[in-house]
Amino acid sequence: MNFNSIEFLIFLPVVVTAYWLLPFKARWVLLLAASLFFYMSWNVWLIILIGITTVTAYVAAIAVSRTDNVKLRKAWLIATLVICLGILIFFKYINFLLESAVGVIRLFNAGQADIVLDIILPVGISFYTFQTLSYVIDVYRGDYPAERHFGYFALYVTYFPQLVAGPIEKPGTLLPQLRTEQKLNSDDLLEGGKWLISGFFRKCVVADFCGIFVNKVYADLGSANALAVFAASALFLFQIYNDFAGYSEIALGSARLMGVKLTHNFEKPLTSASFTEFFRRWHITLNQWFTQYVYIPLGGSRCGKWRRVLNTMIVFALCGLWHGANWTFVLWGLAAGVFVSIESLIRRPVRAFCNEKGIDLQSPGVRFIRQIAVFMLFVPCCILFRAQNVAEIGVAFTRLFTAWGFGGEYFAAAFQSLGMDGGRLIMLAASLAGMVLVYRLPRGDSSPSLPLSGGYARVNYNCTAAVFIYGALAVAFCWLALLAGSDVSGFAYFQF
Amino acid sequence: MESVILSSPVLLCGYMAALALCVVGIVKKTGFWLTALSAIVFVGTSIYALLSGASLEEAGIAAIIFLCVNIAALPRGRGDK
Repeated sequence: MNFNSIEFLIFLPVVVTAYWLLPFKARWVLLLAASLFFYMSWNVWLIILIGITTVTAYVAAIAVSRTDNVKLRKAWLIATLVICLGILIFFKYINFLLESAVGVIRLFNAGQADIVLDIILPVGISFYTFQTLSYVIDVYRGDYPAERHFGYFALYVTYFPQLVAGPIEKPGTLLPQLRTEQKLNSDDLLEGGKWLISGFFRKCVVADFCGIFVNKVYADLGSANALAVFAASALFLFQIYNDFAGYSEIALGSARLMGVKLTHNFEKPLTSASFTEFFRRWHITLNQWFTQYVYIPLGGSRCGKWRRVLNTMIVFALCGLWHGANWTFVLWGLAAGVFVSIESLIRRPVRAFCNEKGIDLQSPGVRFIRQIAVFMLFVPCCILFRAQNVAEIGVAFTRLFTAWGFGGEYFAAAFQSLGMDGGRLIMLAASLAGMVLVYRLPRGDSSPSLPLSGGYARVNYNCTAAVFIYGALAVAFCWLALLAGSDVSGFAYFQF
Repeated sequence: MESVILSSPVLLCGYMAALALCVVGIVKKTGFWLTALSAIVFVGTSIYALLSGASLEEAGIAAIIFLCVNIAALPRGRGDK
């Protein structure tokens, strides 16, 4: 049951209505049942895997909290890591590991046959595994008390709005909210509705529409010129951003309708003026997870310069691998790590130089130039993320660096590769303009800091109502148009 | 592909009227009735456009434009002092 499906549009109102009608003590049962139903709608048997992870973490956390014996606590933690990560590695990475091993063996024995296990990739396994691990590690560190109520803990792991693609919530942010009796109030419903409109707009209008052009170019990279490859990669950045941010916003909106505030996963990453800033704003909960549970334990930035670079590269390589069992993702992670490392190495000399010359790095003009530079450098990295294999990366970069030209014919060829015509160009421009503006919708930017009165209150009320009407119409029209052309796609991050 | 909306004066007038009502409602800070009237005109025009052979994408673009206008008009600052 994808978020952008008719089933979910029926499922969500039913669950939300039942949630508010039920007494507080029965709500967790409803939410747990709904979450399990939601997850089992992909594959009934996947419940066994999430069940093993949940029970393991629940038992281990209680065991850790009951003893002061350091060795025993560590043993429980290691056992949990082995079981949970073992499940993740087996189901997500085993074929990748086998394929890589076969590749190495073929260097010595060309006749080595492929070894592929027939395993399905459980939806959202990376998300709920990381969320569960954050709980056990927090309990081990004494940052959070072990949850005694199995029902609430199971709900924390399986909570349907964020189960299959995050945000990855720390126990301290989600569990207390699930345990608190939420009161029905109009602010939550309004904010939830805004998040939903924004999320569906991002996914059903912007991401899916950008995806049409991206898929067209990447289906025939060999005949695309440099401009087409660059444009497709830039559009892929918009696609993946809106796809995932859209999912996160639908998750935020769905939870908010039930009074629960999930963590924001994106904070305008495309306006970042540095790579460090970009990854601080992109998939925030995952990057915080890696920072807290990998980067800092490795020594973080409180060690020598080169050790810090090494730590950064390790974290980004793992982050890339987390995204998918493919060398393309590892390469993407390493490329991002190189940019972040270079930034950290040149930060001081650049600041000193700018101070000397009187250049303000945060002034609007300089910041705009930095934003453009980050965007232009990040777009080629997107090739690594989008390509199906290393060979495709080679083709894409070859075209990007060699197939340059200028003039009417060249631009026409690029447009043809993208499948762009006048109507679609207008549609794309409208989508991207909408993408820029929906930033304002649910983040509090649209909620003035002081209560409005008089005419402003009326404008606020009217425009909010109009946003719901036109947002719903825009999503419905575009979704149906894409559906008619079989261009509707699932959420890209589900595969992660 | 030729645009059905841009080539039909009736549809253009309908959308322009809806947009004008919407903008007047925002500028004059009127009650909800003007916004509602604008939305009704918009929906009516869109239905007529679809029945006249306009594509869903075209109707979608019109809805996105109206959405953008209304988001842009949402008050941001400290409000009415």
